[in-house]
Amino acid sequence: MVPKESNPSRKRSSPGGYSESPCKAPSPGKWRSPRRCNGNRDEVRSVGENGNLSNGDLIGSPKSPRKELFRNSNQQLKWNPRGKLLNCHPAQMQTVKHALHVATPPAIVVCREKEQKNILEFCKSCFQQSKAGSLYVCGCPGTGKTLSIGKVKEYFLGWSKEVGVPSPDVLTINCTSLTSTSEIFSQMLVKFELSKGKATNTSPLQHLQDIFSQKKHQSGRMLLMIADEMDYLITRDHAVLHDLFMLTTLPFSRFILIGIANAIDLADRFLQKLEALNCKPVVITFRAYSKDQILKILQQRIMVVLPQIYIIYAICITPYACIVHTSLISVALGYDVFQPAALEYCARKVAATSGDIRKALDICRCAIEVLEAELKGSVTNKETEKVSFHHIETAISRSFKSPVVDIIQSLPQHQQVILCSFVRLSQHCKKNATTLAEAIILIIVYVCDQLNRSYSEICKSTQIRPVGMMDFASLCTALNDQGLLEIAQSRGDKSKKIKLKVDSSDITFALKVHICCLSTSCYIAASLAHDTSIGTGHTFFPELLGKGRPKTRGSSINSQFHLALK
Amino acid sequence: MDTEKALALLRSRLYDPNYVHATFKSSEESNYCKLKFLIMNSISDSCNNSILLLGPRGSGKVAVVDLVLEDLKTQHPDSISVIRLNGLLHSDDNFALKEIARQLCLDHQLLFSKMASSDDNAGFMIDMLKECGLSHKSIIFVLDEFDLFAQGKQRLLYSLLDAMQTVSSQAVVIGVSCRLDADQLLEKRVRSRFSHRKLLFVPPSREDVRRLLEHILYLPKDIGLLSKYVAEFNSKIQYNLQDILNDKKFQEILDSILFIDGAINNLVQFLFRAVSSMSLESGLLSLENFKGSHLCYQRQPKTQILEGVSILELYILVCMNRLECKEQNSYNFNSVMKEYKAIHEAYKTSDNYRDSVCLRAFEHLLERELIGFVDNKGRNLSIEIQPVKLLISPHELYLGLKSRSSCPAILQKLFDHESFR
Repeated sequence: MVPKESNPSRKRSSPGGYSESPCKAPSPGKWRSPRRCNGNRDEVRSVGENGNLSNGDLIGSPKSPRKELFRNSNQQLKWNPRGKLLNCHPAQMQTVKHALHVATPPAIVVCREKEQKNILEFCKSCFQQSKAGSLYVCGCPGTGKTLSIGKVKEYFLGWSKEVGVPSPDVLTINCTSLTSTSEIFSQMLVKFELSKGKATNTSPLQHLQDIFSQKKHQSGRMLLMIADEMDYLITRDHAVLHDLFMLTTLPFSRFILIGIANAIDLADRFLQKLEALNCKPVVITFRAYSKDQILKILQQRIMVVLPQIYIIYAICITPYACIVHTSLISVALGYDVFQPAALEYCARKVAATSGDIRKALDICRCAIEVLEAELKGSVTNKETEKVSFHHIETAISRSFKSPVVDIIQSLPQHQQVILCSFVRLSQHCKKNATTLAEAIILIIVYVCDQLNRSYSEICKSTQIRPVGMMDFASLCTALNDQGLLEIAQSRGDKSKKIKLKVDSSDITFALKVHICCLSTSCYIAASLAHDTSIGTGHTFFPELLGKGRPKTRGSSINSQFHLALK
Repeated sequence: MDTEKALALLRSRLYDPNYVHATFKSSEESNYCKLKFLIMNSISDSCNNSILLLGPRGSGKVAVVDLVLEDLKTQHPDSISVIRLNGLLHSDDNFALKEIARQLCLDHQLLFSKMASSDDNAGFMIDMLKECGLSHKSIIFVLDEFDLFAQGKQRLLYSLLDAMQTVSSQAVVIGVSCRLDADQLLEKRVRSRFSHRKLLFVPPSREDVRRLLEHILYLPKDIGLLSKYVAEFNSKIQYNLQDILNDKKFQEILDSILFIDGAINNLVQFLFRAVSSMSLESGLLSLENFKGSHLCYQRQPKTQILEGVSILELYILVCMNRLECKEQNSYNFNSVMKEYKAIHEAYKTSDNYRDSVCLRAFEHLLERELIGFVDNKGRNLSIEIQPVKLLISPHELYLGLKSRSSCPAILQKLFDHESFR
């Protein structure tokens, strides 16, 4: 089961990690060698590593060689989305998409400086006092917890090297990969090499407890453990989680535990005993991103694309052309890719719903793809096509819109009638409910038989021939498969309980707007409109109520239908 | 000879989902193009992606995925590795990991060990993802019945999607489901990692159905048949098919099929029946073929049972129907007998039988499940007292009565009397 060793030769330069220098071109003449830019990037990197978490002026700093290059040239490199693939390098659009991908790690983690500082301070203080400690990080998904803690780990290791103490042993474990919850202890033993002297009949947990309770087993190194998705360790009796945190309370433990999860109250709910011992873990909350933070992160991601594009253009053009073409990408290229209003709209929308940065990145990528598809189709050769408000809006509607309305509109007719009959039944029930409270509490669960009867009624009134019971049952099953209805298990065919899982207003909306060439859909929609507008006293189809004579079919129906829509 | 070849060709076309769904390959807005665009982008950009395909059963989701993957395999033979999982078989995480490992080993010619634990399998999968990422090979995971993977703790989904959050792996996850709210079933962690791309498979519109019919039913010129025959077939079809397709009756038939289930699968089955009944002498399709196929769809088994039922039993059924119409909620054999006697007094028919004979007829109906007991509680009571109910709808009864030539007119009259259509 060992995979064969393949030659991991990368066929192209990796824009993601800044670890390798893609450019080895010689520097001709007045043109600044790209290696200087590389140096600039090293500067950027080391800014991070030294524990200086300020956002810094990564690009605009006065000492940066790029600023001098800014002065040298007049021309701005334009955002050219249709740029063809240069010999072996991806076009601009691909680079931007790559920069916006969720998987691409950013060089600096912005907007989380405070939290990172807190965690780092905590680790440092534990380290310096040679004490154990536990920390609990919580927050919604997509708020940068794992990423930030990864960075803190790096800073911490760097700091320990600087200070000259033996660096701690670090174990990062994702609790979803454990087959059983108590396996975490055996993994700890293996990683921290503490299994020496373990008797065969003690469990890993007991062995750890022994080690941490006695001084003689100490090796002098601190142990740092990062447990991701910690709520997978929750068992019925909360034992594993509890024992894990208790390990930090033992007298001779030098064990720092950082737990990451989504629930804010995990510590309160599952670790009450620790409170009694006064060793409750420090809780650090990663709040959902606000609109400004999301905007900042997106801009930072796009701007960091710049060195890449610059370098790429720098390498493969002749030296003469370099002077002309290796102009700088203005710092404002970030805005040239996206219209500022569009980016802000995206940030606002995402911040309002979840504050999840993954979603924002996804929407931006989707918008670029929409632009790409548009450019592919269109013939006009506009040089500057930015991602506009319209593209972002399309991308957002694709992500956020539930497909319910589309699916209902595209259902075959009989299935639509079944949904209508459901809505009608529920409306009748609501009318018959004597008090408002009753109407609200009413659980809309119907027996298949009732539904069939209502369905036949609607079919009669709209001149569609109803299907037989068998077909009706299969139609209901098809709707159940799609998740629109829920059919409870029951023995008899006719007495199955059916529940509607879609909002009835969605159904009404979907069918009202659905004007197809068949007049029967108009009838369905109009009959629904009639029912819902019963309170307002409109009577579009008086014959449904049994009053009046049936009007002539044809144009009068359509005109009434249009009236109904207004 | 030729007609048989033509028939064989048409039948093989209908049962090849690739051929059927290739109708929509050329249109820009089709799901095929969108899916292909997405996967090609992921491969050329070497990035990770995930997408969900939603639509009712039989609308061709897996067929489109197969088409796209086949095309990509011919274009980029070495850059794709496909892993298929099904929610019905592999919803348990251990089985799923084992299956992934087995398929990966198969693809890359490695030896698969059945004894490997699920930890090993998981580690293997992550290692393979890294390896393939380094050598620019994309792994495409096709998860069929995606909503079944979303039960329980969703560990498999989480580990797959988490592995895709690193830049070192290159994978595309395609989820196929018929539940529209499949992404609402995901846990919030998993949903955050899943990109919200969705492709909806809606039933085809009228123009699309027309295109599909023409695509399937026209014979190509170069299949080795006599060109005269092909020309005749096609021209007749050109007229014929256009005639047929434009015929109002055909439209009605098509509508009644599509109104129940608009999925392409359903339409293909209808066409298959019609094509199979194509007459071999004339070698051409006619409207009768389609009508015959439609009748098969409209089969009402209970109405067919009614053809074998005796007259007395019919009387009993009609009496029960009348009782139901009179809003009597529960009735039993005795009340049915009362009704039966009342009818005979009113109409003076000749079919008056004794109670014991009627009871025999009643038991026959019970055996055939045309009527049934309301509940199973009254096992100890005798048959005459237990409440019963009808198991066929009035419409089916009406059709059954109409189709019986030997049905006494009185029954029809009794039926027509109620304002039922």
